[in-house]
Amino acid sequence: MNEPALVEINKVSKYYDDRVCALKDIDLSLDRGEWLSIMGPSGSGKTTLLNIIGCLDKPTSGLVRVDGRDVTRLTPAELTCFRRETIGLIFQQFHLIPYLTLLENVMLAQYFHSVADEEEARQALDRVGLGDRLSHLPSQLSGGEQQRGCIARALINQPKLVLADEPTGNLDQHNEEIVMDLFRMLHDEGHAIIVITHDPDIGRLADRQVFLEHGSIADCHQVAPLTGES
Amino acid sequence: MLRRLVFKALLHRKRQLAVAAAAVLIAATLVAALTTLSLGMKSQAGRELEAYGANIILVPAAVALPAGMGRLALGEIAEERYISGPTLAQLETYPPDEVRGYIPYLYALASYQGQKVVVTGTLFDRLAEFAASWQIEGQWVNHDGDTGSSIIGQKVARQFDLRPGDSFSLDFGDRTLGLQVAGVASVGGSEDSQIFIDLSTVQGLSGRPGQIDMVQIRASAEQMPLKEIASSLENNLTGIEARVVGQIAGAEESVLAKLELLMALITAVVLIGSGVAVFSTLTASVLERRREIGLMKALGARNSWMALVFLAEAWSLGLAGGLLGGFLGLGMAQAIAGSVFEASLSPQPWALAATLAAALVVATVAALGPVRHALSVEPIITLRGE
Repeated sequence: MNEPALVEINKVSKYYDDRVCALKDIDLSLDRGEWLSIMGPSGSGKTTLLNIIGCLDKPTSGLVRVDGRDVTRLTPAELTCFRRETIGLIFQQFHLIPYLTLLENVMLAQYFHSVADEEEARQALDRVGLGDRLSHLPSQLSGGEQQRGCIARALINQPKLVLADEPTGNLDQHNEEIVMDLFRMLHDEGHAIIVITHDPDIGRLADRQVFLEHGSIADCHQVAPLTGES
Repeated sequence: MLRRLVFKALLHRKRQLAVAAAAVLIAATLVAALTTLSLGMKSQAGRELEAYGANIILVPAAVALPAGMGRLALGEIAEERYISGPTLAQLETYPPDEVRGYIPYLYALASYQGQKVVVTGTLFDRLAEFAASWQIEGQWVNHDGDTGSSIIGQKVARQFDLRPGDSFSLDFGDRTLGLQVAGVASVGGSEDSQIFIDLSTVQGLSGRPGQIDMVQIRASAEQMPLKEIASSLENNLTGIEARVVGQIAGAEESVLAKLELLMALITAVVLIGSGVAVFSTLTASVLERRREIGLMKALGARNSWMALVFLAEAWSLGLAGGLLGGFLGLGMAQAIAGSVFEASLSPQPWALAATLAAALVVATVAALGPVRHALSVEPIITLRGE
């Protein structure tokens, strides 16, 4: 028997000021453990869609079900609670708190969720290759290191769904590869991932690609397995 | 984690927060100094005003009986009354913060060189304290029981050409009392026409042992109005009538009330000023940290937790500024008291506690607006990159 989808989106539309259409009648689903890439030009509605799936925004109409719950009916406080229990967020700009060390940034996410556990936070940072950067402030880290710290923070509470908005947008080639290796590792561990990207190479790492244009899905297809030439 | 976050956030924004902390510090310093001075000056002003004499007078209560025959009214017959020694002893039972001191007087007539003079018997060791505003040529009689010394009013001195050190004799009927002039008093009142000598001597020579005609009381208006103290004296002491000396008492109460009002106004203005500084600093903090607030909300921070973060920052400002300012204010109050009143104020722990409480209340009230603003920040701005 098939497991129900982790994310189900039915006829979702989003209008700003009742005029500007950001999303129009989107139907989409994401299975547990699936990696989905959302691609498209600027202004096509990628980030709006990610915000709605991440419970940071509400659609104007339509149904959004995440992990079996209709999140469009939740109050702001319930959405906050649901977000910290279910979703891990990775940002293009990293968004680490500048005056906290890397270790403290990860522990802060733990604290919001339940209890800050320093040892567990150390292990999470060790896992992304930052075991020797624990007491560094974000300003003392490279962009790649900050993004890996952001990934460690997103994963510290074992979220069922990882959402990443242009995670390699500010990284050089070397760091981009390191970060994408981490995403592959997450995928292999069974995390469901949605990544917004402009980069076709990164988009091809996913199980499935969705192309948005003018707020609608222009294309959605499975990605062919890599042949080893990539 | 909260403590660590607040502490590091404070350190991170120490320059901006220094302005608010300085405002709280200045306000707390002034509040501590003004409250300490207010109480200290109240006592001091009371003591200064004591120099102008008594503010309550006790006289024997006269019982008047209507006299007449049939419809013919012949007026009232008043029995000669006096204040007795036991009544005076009852005054000693009053707490010192209500009745600071008293002095009894007994009046008698005597003759000098064939002319009548008013002789006032009193306690010399108290007279100097009650008559601090008198101008004395010569010296005070410093102790009771000095039956051979006198203070004479300037009119008496002029009338009889007496000077300090001169000897003279008073005739009380068939008894004569030899005296020496210790000092000549210039008062500007009826005292200038009197001769002050030892109380028990007058009681003995006038045949009124243990009797007192009038008692002057120096009462404190700090705890309760003088009228209430006078009323209490009338109720508790038998056979007396207590009168508030209107001019002195009114001036004292009016000065103290104005002093308190001035202090309260200055304190209020200063506290409002520091509250505005804390408000603007925390508002700027919230505006600068909108992305950080949005991020924390996106990561799952509850509103209550976010409110606590900013309130804790406000409380830190209030605590640091209030505590340091409190101690500085106590020092400032001592310095002002020393230079203005040439007196030392006793330390007031409650002033420190009140200052700290005021600083915390101001910081909390000033933080409410910025906290509300922080709670209204939407987490979505983090992803939008605003």
